[in-house]
Amino acid sequence: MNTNYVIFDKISIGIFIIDSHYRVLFWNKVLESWTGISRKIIVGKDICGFFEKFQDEKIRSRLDSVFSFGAPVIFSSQLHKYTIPSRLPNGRYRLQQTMVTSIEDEKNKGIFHAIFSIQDVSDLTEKAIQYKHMNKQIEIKNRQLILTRERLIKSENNLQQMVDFTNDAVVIIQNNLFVYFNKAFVEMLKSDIQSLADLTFEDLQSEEFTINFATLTKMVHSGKIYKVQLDLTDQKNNTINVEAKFQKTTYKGKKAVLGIFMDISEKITLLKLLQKEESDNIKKGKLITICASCHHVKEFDGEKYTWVSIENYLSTISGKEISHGICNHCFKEKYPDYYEKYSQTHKSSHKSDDGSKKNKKNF
Amino acid sequence: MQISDREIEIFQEMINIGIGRAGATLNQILSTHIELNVPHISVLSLPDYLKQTKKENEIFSAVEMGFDGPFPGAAHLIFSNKSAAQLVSALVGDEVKNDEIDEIKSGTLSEIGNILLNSVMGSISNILQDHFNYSVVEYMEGTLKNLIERSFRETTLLIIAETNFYIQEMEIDGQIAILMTLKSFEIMEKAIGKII
Repeated sequence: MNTNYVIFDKISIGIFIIDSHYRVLFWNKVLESWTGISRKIIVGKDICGFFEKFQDEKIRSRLDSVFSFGAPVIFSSQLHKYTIPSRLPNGRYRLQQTMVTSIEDEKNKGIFHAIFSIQDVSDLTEKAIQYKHMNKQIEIKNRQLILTRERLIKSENNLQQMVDFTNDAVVIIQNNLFVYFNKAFVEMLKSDIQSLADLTFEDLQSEEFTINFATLTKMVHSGKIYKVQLDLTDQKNNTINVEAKFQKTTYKGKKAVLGIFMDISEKITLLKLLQKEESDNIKKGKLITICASCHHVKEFDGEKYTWVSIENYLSTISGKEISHGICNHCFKEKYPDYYEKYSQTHKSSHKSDDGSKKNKKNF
Repeated sequence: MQISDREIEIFQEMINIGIGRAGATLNQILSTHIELNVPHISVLSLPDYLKQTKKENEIFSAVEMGFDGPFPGAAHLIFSNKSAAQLVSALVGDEVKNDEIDEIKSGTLSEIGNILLNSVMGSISNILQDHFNYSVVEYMEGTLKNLIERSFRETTLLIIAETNFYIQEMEIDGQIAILMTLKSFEIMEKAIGKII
């Protein structure tokens, strides 16, 4: 063995040298470690006796260019996996990138030997595979994201269509301006898109009752739905009574207020009519209005409405005196202990709650 | 510089022989059938070559093998990044992105380039009966100008062989470029003159 080759023991890659007869001239320490084959055993022997792949014509024809004219040869890990089979501690074969270069024989000019430099690329390949896998995962996630975004745009479009079809006026207000409004809103205000685009939220409200945008923003940003009745003014200066609901939203990535207006002008007119009719009926004595809670009666004294006790009212209209007693039902409910005692001592004629027995005494 | 038709024919012949051998070797080692074809050869100055390709800013993948001897130079196998990715994907069955530089792409292309360039240079060496010393094969990526200037600073002339790879019903275009100085080219012409 050429003693100059020993320098290859200092390099951390697998190196061996063969002549054109495939006889091993050198075998370095790294290869001893990888294969368990010592230099003493392999040097001087035909490498085909140790590794069958060197009998393969497709390897030999490549190596011919090294031996015949000294051109380098590469055996990549992608197309060959490995040149010298050796296992890693995890049992897998070591992936190898092999470069074969030529070295001219010291004594015989024009005779080339082949130096195999074998780099262990298992770790590198593993990392490349992991990187690719990671990239693929990112790609899948990106595709899902694009799909979700497309669906979101589609559903936003659908929602917009639905909003356009609804009878309620829907708006989005940002910085006091109507950045979005549906057809119903335009129709409600008897306006046009261009005019509305230039108006502020405050411009639309009648002078009597106004909520400014700052207050509105404060109300909705607490997170609750803010309900309020507003008087809006249409383009012909008519007042429109609306029931409005506001809540916070985002529009094109910025904070905004979503508003839904329901025109209640007709409802309010009807309510006013009913109130007038009720008032007229009370005046004419056709209707008695009794408080649902205290049972006081609404009375018109010729000038104004007052609430009087039912006793006073009945006494006034009937001209009779009024006295108080307690019925069996209330006695039993309000004073159960007295009722029990009373029932036992007065077992004479007594009317029951449902009136089924006739021989009980009434109070 | 005037290049005669006969000289072009000789280049074509030398490169075709090399390509033929490379094709045979590739079919031996690959599980996929591959066919190689060199439809056109031209000899150009570096500025003319860059002007002709019209791809000043495009990134290419190249495998380079330098040679020294009677006329020094460098041989390149050049692919557009898209073609390189297609070729590697077809050969190793692994999806490779156009803009991805990785060990799979560089390793595979280095070996393919090594087979092609060895065969072509072997053919030139055999026909001209000259011996060359070769440097190790290197994989590079960059613009054509960067690739050529980095590899062989004195380049004045290029022998460009358009190379088509037919693999899995796909045609993948590449180029074999032999970079030389004017002096090297004249020496080579003389060598060709001896065999005509």
